Amino acid sequence: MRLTYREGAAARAFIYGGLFWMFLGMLFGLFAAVLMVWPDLIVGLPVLEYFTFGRVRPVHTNLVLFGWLTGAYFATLFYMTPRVVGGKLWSEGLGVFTALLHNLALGLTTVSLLAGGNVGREYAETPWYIKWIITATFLLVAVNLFMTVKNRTEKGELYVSAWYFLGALVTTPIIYVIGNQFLLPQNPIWGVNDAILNWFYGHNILGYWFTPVGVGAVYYLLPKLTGNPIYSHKLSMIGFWSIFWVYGPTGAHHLVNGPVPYWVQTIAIAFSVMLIIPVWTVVTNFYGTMKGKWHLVRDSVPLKFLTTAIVFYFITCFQGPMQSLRSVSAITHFTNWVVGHAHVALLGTFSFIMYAAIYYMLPRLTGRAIYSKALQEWHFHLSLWGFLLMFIDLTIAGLVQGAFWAQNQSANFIEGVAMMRPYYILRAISGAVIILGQVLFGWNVYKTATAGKPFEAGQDAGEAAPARAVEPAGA
Amino acid sequence: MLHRNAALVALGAFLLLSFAIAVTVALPLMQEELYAADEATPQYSELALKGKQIYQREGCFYCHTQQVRTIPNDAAFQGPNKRPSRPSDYANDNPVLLGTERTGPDLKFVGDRLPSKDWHIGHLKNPRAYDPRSIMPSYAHLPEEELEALAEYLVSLRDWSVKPLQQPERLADLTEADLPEEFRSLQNPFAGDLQGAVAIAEPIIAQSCVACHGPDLRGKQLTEKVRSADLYERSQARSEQFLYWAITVGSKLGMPGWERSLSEEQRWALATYIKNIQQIRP
Ligand code: HEC
Ligand code: HEC
Ligand code: HEM
Ligand code: HEM
Repeated sequence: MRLTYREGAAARAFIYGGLFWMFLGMLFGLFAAVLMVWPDLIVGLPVLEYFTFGRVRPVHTNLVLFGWLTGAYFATLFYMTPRVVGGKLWSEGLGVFTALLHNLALGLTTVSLLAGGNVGREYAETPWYIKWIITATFLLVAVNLFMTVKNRTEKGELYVSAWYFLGALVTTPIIYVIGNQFLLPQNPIWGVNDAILNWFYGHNILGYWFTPVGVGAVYYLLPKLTGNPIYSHKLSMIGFWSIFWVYGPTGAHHLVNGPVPYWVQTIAIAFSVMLIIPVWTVVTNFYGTMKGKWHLVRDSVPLKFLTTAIVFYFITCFQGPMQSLRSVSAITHFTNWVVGHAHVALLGTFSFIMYAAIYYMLPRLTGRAIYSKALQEWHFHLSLWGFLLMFIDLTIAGLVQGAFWAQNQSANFIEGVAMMRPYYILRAISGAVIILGQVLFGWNVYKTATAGKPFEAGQDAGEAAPARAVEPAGA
Repeated sequence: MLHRNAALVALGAFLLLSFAIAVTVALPLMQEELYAADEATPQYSELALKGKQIYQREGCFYCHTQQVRTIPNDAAFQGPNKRPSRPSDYANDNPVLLGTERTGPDLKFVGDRLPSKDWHIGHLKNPRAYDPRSIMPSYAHLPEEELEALAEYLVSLRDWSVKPLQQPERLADLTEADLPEEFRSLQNPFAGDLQGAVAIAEPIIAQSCVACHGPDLRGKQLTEKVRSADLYERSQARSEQFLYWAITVGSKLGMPGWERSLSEEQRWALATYIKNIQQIRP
């Protein structure tokens, strides 16, 4: 039997799967937040009493990072890559198969972490056999996309999004395999070097996967939504090559003032500060591209998400170099400040970019227009204000914590725990607001796919650009 | 032009990453001294390793770090040798559980601060009994032998170059005759200076003692098996020297030893305060 798939089947499968994991993952986040306010909530309840904070938290991070964001990223790659290089996706069938594998891996992850399968390494918690499935999925996706690029019909210069996608696809599996102790059942590397490996992976999965695919997506979407070409080809090149050069050696900035050699920390800090270069060039390039088109933001929710995401990207990458400095880290390390930084990066920046991408891709993948503009607006505002509340709350909480420890040299610790209570309550509330926004989003996506009006390209705001993303200026 | 060729773009990204791998992964991996153990390195028993597994499984490391930084902010978490942690402290750790957040206290040298397994088991079952403000989960649902293993792991998290505190089983069962020789002849520096002792002791009691002994210091039930002492009642039967010793070493039942977190002067002030508690707060 031969199955044939309609064009876009793989991207659709990843979008729907990603949304499912986003809901589940965020609910686990809310559950974790509530447990920090009422730790005895589950005491004595059969089965549920096993789901203490320490088991719930890794389910949250794995589902939102690998289920939701990575799922949405695969969809983005499957949608955008053929369109920027010309031609079709090499194999829709393989694409759908990888979507199944991806969801299988995430299902296994959820069950195994809840059942106590955590192997004790942050962002690498799953047992080794699940890591093999994840690696296989990634490689199959990469093959599919490399073949797509190989068979491209546009033989000229590759568009900037394609650079980022290609870069991410080659580097990520290497980082994953090394950082996960070579996927072996028994870690071959002991002692503090295990921590160095863990954070080489922990930071570079952000730098070579979550950042480049997100940035590549913005490079695709901004010209499409504004009708402007990319502001500067030169900035595109500086941004791309410098980020792939500078991001890599920064892993040890997660271990500042810790028990790893001083020189390892120093290298990480130096490169962290240099990260200002790629970030500021990319941000300048994005806002340059918006020139003369700001009026479009009023009517376009995808543009609203993109323009705010770029602000949050700037904030993330302003915080980042600062908190890697020894003196700043002395206060912010180990506190809720870092949790705030994690959410402004992965929720405020890259999830927002994916919301914009899904609003853009969905009509083109289903042939149906977005069901409700009003729901889109609500989704944006609930996400934005809920998130801002969460971010400000966690940032202040972190400073309060860090200052208290510094003042007492960590004595009388429990006092500091008690001081966090109002911030934890507010974080749970802000999380609930964000989740409410996502429920509206999910409903809107569902109605679009099942009951949206017929859609024709060019009918939404700013769809003035040609089919292939705009040629870079000066190319 | 570089950007016409997809393979070149991919190769470029790969080469740039290789630089990072060479410098920040391969180079540290080749440093022999990063794997070397010394006399301070923890030696885990089989039971302790089982406890470590449970520690990983339950995700204790999301709330507890196991690293004392090289800055004064972490002073209270330093071990008996008053030092930050260093690579050799982790030579027997795989995976290493350094942690990234301090929702709860650092545990690198917790075995030095709290050497009693009974204390840990009681605390794991119901952290709120020890301090109502704690947000640590209760692990009362874990089987007894798993709590035992966890406690064994926790008490082995210490500086092994220093002998662990020797604690009596239960202070309640002891009398003046059990007081170790070297404590009997000690002089109380606060003799005749009750006010000086009260001034030092009062804030410490409010901060560190009422959680377990109750705001009235009359003792309270911490777990089914453990009850903290009624300090009014005990003060009757004890000499100042005995109280000083009890505060210094604590007991396996669950009174922490304060030798490493309070100065001699502070401990004497507390002993003096408790000896005269009837008079100070009738
Ligand atoms: C939600 C975060 C959280 C989790 C998960 C957690 N703890 Fe705690 N832990 C705390 C807090 C907060 C304190 C301080 C208050 C107290 O003593 O209960 C604490 C205190 C402790 C202490 C006493 C340390 C000291 O110096 O007083 C030990 C030992 C401990 N925890 C062990 C564990 C173990 C073992 C686990 C896993 C089975 C665990 N904790 C899981 C938050 C947590
Ligand atoms: C974690 C709970 C806990 C804390 C905190 C605590 N105690 Fe205790 N304390 C106990 C328990 C339990 C006993 C009973 C010990 C026994 O009988 O072995 C006890 C017993 C005592 C005794 C009686 C010793 C005797 O003569 O039999 C004294 C004195 C005492 N504590 C003083 C203090 C002081 C002073 C502080 C504060 C610096 C303090 N405790 C903090 C739990 C605690
Ligand atoms: C661009 C410059 C950036 C720099 C220099 C930087 C630096 C840092 C530093 C120093 C920490 C550790 C903080 C601590 O523990 O004290 C950290 C944590 C973190 N960063 Fe960044 N960051 C940057 C951008 C990003 C981006 C783009 C993302 C997301 C894609 C991100 C996601 C995270 C996350 C999730 C953590 C928390 C890790 C943990 O402890 O679990 N960061 N960052
Ligand atoms: C898609 C959106 C989200 C992403 C990508 C995300 C990502 C993350 C990451 C990377 C961490 C680890 C932080 C660190 O170690 O420093 C984390 C922790 C956490 N997140 Fe989220 N998150 C999202 C949404 C939410 C929501 C809606 C809530 C609800 C309140 C939430 C609650 C939490 C909690 C409670 C923690 C644990 C913090 C701690 O250990 O102290 N998250 N999240």
